Amino acid sequence: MHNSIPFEAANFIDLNYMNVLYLFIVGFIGGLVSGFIGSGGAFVLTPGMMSLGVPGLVAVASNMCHKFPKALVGAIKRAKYGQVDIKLGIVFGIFAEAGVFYGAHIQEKIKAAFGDAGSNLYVSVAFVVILAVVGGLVLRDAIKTYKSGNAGAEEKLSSIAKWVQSVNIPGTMVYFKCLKAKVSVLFIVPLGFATGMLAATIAVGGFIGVPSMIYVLGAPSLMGSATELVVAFVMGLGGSFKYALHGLVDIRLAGIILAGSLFGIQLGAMGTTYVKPFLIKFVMGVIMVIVLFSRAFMIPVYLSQLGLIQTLTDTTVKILKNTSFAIMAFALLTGAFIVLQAMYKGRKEERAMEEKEVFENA
Amino acid sequence: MEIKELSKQFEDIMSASFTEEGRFETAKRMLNERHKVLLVLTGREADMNAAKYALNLSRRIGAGVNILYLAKDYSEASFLEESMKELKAIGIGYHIRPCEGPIKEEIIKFIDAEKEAYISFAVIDSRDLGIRSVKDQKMDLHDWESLKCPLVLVSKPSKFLSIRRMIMSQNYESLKKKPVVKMIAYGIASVGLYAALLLNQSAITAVFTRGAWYAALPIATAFAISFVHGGFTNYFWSVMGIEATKKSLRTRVVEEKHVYDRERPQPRLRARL
Repeated sequence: MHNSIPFEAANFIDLNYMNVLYLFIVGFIGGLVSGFIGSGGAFVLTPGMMSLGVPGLVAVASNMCHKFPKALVGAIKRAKYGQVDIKLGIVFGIFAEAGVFYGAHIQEKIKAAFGDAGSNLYVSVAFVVILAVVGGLVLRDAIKTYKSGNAGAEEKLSSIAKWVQSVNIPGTMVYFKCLKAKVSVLFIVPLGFATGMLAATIAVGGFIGVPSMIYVLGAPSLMGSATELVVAFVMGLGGSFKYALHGLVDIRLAGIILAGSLFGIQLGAMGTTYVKPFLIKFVMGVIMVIVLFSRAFMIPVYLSQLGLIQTLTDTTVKILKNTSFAIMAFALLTGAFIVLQAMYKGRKEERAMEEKEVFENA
Repeated sequence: MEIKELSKQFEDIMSASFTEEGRFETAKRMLNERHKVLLVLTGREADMNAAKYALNLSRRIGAGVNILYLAKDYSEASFLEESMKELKAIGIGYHIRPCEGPIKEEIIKFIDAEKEAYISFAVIDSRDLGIRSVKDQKMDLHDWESLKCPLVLVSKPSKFLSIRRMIMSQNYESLKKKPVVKMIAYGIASVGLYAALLLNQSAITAVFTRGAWYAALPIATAFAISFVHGGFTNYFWSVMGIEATKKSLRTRVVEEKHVYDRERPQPRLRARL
């Protein structure tokens, strides 16, 4: 696919110290959040790179090429804590890959029919609708768990997950360790596909992947978010190869972002061992809801470009674009802050316990 | 520190000790044991860690407890005597002395004088002796040479002293060697990789973006970075002392054997001869 992709290698930007530092820091924060909730970070990185003057497709390709090694490192780290279900990750990832291809195909068609603004509007509407529905549900569930006072208790299966696990379609049943049950692969096909489509559209498939593993298949939050890293690896590897075939990957950009994000992902992965499962849902829900507002600011811009509403002045467009980006960065920073704070608190508590134990034993 | 507060804290610790071992057993043991642990209190510090330590130690080595209270203000001694009567009933002897000279001299003098008391260990909060760091402790060592029994300094948990305590409790795991060498090795490799990438960026970009089979090059580079730099970041956080919870490494999620496909024993007809 993507025969129409122009050869943009000549447009690779010159790197200066400020650019390198900026990408390193954004990479670190994005990695931290990804390590914790399984995905994220990419939605700031792609526009972040574009703001440096990187052409859109090169930004998407380079982001993709930094995503799979990062996800690999994160998945290996979290597998050490027994949180990864490799089988589910690979099966899910294969269907997600198909979703990525189909999602990109749809994007192209929309672009051909309605131009750049139409394509952007489609992306923003997808962002707003999916983030509002899924993000709202995830956040509500996390807050409910927290308020119920049973935050430390084992997570309960949702009623959909109970039903999905009870359905027996002969010949399609596969046992997954994170579900501790056999589930028909036919349920994973649409979930993986939707994850891939979202990844192709907004660069963060995990916003569908993780909640669907938790709420539809019945995986615990820790395992769902860790398994998403395997899905991201499979998707990212396929996607990167596709873009690399067209010479669109700027390995320098991918490398610099990786330099920061590999620090972040290790920290985020370790962070999951200090927190109660609901916090993973909480961080994910918070990020999704904040990002939702960021994209909502962009919708009027695209509507006006399409001539569906009154044309906006250049200043208004600029203000809306900057506000949108600032909110997106804020979402990521908020997530990173919650992760770091929870980790600091968890470490402090553990150290106090250790001191006590040592003392009592002495 | 108020003497009242001190005696209250001590009573709390004692009652915890009673609940664990049983009041009668504690009293019986304390009275019968010939060897004693000497707990030195000065009323200078509110921390009761030394008292907890002395009680745990006495239980472990099967010894009784003696308390030496070095009062800086002797006027309060009568109150202390009153409040510690209960201790006497369960076999904890106490001695209240005015502390005229330096504390260490008072302790040495007391142990010399009480040869009959068979004191196996003297336990004191290190801050009572003005020791606040490992360095202070070393400087102080030679003064104690004339002491007839081992002296245990108990300190409030602090980074340095807790390491000493971990050695005492043989918690070697906490002291395991940090992977500094590995971090440096991976760090050098990582710097080398990035330097090669950024110093030859124009040549690399030209080759890597040719498309077709050349597409494998950026992918291979990304894998190489994830291995080398990923290894470095992993060891970096370990060396910085930031690790996952120990619990997470101990309690792995164990895959439960699923029994769906297990063959069921089929009843068979047995022919009898």
